Amino acid sequence: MTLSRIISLSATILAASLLGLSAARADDSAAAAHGFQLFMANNCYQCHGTVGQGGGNGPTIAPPRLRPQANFMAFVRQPPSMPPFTTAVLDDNDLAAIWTYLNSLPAPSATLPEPLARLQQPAAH
Amino acid sequence: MSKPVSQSGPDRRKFLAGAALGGAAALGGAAPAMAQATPAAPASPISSPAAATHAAAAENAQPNVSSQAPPITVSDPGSDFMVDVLKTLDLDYVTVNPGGSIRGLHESIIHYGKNTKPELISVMHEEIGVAICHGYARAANKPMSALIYGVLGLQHAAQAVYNAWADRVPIYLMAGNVGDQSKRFGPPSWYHSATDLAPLLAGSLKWADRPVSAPYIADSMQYACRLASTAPMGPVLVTFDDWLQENSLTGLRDKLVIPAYHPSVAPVAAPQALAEAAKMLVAAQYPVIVAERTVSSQADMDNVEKLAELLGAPVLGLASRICIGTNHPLNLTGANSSAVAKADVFLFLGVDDPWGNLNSSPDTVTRPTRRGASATAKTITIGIDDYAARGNIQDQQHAFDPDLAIVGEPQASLPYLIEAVRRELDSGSHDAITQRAADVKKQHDALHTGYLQAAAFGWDASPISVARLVAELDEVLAKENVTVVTNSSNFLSNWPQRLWNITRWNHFQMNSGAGGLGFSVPAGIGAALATKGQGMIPVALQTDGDFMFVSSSLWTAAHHRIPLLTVMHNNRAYHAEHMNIQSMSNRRQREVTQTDLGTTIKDPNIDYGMLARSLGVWGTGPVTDPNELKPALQRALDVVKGGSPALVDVVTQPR
Repeated sequence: MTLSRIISLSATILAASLLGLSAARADDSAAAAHGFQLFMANNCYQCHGTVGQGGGNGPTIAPPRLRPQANFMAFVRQPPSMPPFTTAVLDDNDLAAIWTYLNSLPAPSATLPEPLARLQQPAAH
Repeated sequence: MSKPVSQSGPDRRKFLAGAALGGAAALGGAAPAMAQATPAAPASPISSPAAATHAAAAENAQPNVSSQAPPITVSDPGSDFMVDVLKTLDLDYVTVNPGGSIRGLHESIIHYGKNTKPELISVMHEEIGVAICHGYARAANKPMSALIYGVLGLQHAAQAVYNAWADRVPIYLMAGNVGDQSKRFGPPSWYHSATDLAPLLAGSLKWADRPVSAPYIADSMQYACRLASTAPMGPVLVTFDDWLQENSLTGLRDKLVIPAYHPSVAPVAAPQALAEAAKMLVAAQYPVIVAERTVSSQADMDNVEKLAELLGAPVLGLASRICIGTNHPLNLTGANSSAVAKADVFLFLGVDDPWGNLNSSPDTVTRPTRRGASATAKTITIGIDDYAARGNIQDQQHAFDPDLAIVGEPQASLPYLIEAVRRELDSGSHDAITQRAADVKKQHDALHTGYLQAAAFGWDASPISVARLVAELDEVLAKENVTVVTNSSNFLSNWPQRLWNITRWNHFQMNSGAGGLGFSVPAGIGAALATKGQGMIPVALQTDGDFMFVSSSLWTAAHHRIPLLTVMHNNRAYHAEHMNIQSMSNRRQREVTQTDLGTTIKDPNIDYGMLARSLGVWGTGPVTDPNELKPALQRALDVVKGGSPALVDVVTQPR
């Protein structure tokens, strides 16, 4: 799945170029694709999920729950409980790229998907 | 392996039909031996030492060919009598992986016992056999039996027995041993025998015995069953020497008596202690109930809810049992730390580790202990585990000295505590309790809403999010009466408790006890056997690492036509261990890109659908597209409702 995601992001970048979108936009996509590779390679996804959705071991870090970049980077350097990513493991540029990837993710729809909507019921007692 | 003599696996059509099981042996009253003993030579006096017993049995054996030649046939073997005793114990099934030292009893169960009560369930590993018993005991509230081959089988079974011990469930283990050294055949017989088998399961047994004479067989077997079923419940082991199984009891059989079997009555806490607890709870500003091993029936769950409602107290659930409905407005599971911080009185019901609920030790370099509860908070415990404490294996967890320690089975004691609380309440309490309950409900509703919103993140991701897997499974099973078994809800990020509307005590059976892997599918088979005929759909929500310890258990499901739905949460890793290596690497500021070495299950990826099919189970997958998940689950459910087991392999996010 890592590979397919990378291919998908690469295709997005290519499509953006073909459509003549701004160079800045293409740069953002490239940075996001690079950030995704780093996000996977450094195992961030193991606790936070491949799209930052979170899980039992790590909180949601996808928009709109993603911290601002400076705050995010400071947290990762000095976390209270998660494994610390010091600059010896991950430099600032790479960490910033990871944030860019996360920031590129769409927020979930305001409408819950069907199975979750069914479970959205008042307490049964 | 040879085919079972009887193809009498559980009838697939009756499994889900809701038909009541018939033919249960009536209990109570002395049970006569099934076969009539043949009068023979006067019986020798039976004495305790095994050698004397064996000698007496040998002398009493009836030579069928010639009085001069050694006998070549045997009538009234000892193992037939063992089957007579088994039939008084209300044991429906016995798992077996065959072996020489259990051949006598194995054969007696088939032919003499007609393979009913107990019925043989064939397994390919003793760990599977015991884990099936574990799942059965959780669902049926009574023991199932495993017949195990001596030293080798017990060592295979050891982890599953430890899980059962830690989970406080009854299991009736029977093992064979060639105890008489002079009767061993050769090297295997020696390697596979022991002076005493019980130490192989040291720390995991509630009781063990080795009857060495025929008159003691019934007493030993019945006492073992009663002990296993008495709280704190646990595995027991009865070892039978092969000589005692295989030799004739002719001449002795009509003198053997099988007493009436009477299970114990559950121990209730002392009334004055419950009255004191009620005073403390009613006087509290913010009482918190923490409930764990407290529910083994619907009445138990109803009682937890009733107590919480009387007090307007939040209930916090833990890892091993669902004790209150997930949509109950007083269920604050998931907000444990904030509720703990507010509490002035705690009631711990069947909780393994009260200390761990008041304090935390985060997994950091220094692992500091932090108290989360108020220093002045009072604590009450009701539990039976003080009778299960041992010294070596640390399943009793952190030592803890509560303000009021009440020894009694929580389930049995709760009705009396409820009455004590009712007596303590006065009209002046009403407003405060109502207000507290309303506040708790607000928190509960906010939690529930938050869970649903959190589950929407990554909804369309591939690999499939665990939240989506859990939600889609609930969607497909919405109209069914299900019992879902899993080894650890933590591996599922607790999504079942967060998302599902669980109102039945046996809807979701989580936790393997000690956390040993190799649980979900076999325990699901056990749950399926226990609920046979009740119209329930048994489901194993199965993680891949756990599964590969016991993958051949699918063959058992196929062989016995057990309609179990297995849903693979296939994250292709031992994820918790992957995180451990990651954590070590990060702390040491080393390369973190190779933490998959030794922690993942890939290259090659396992095709669980194919594996299932090879073992005779309908299998599909790997499902990687989230939009294909629901149809795949529906197809598998259709197979299960048709009476056959099925597996869906779902490639998932790590957690």
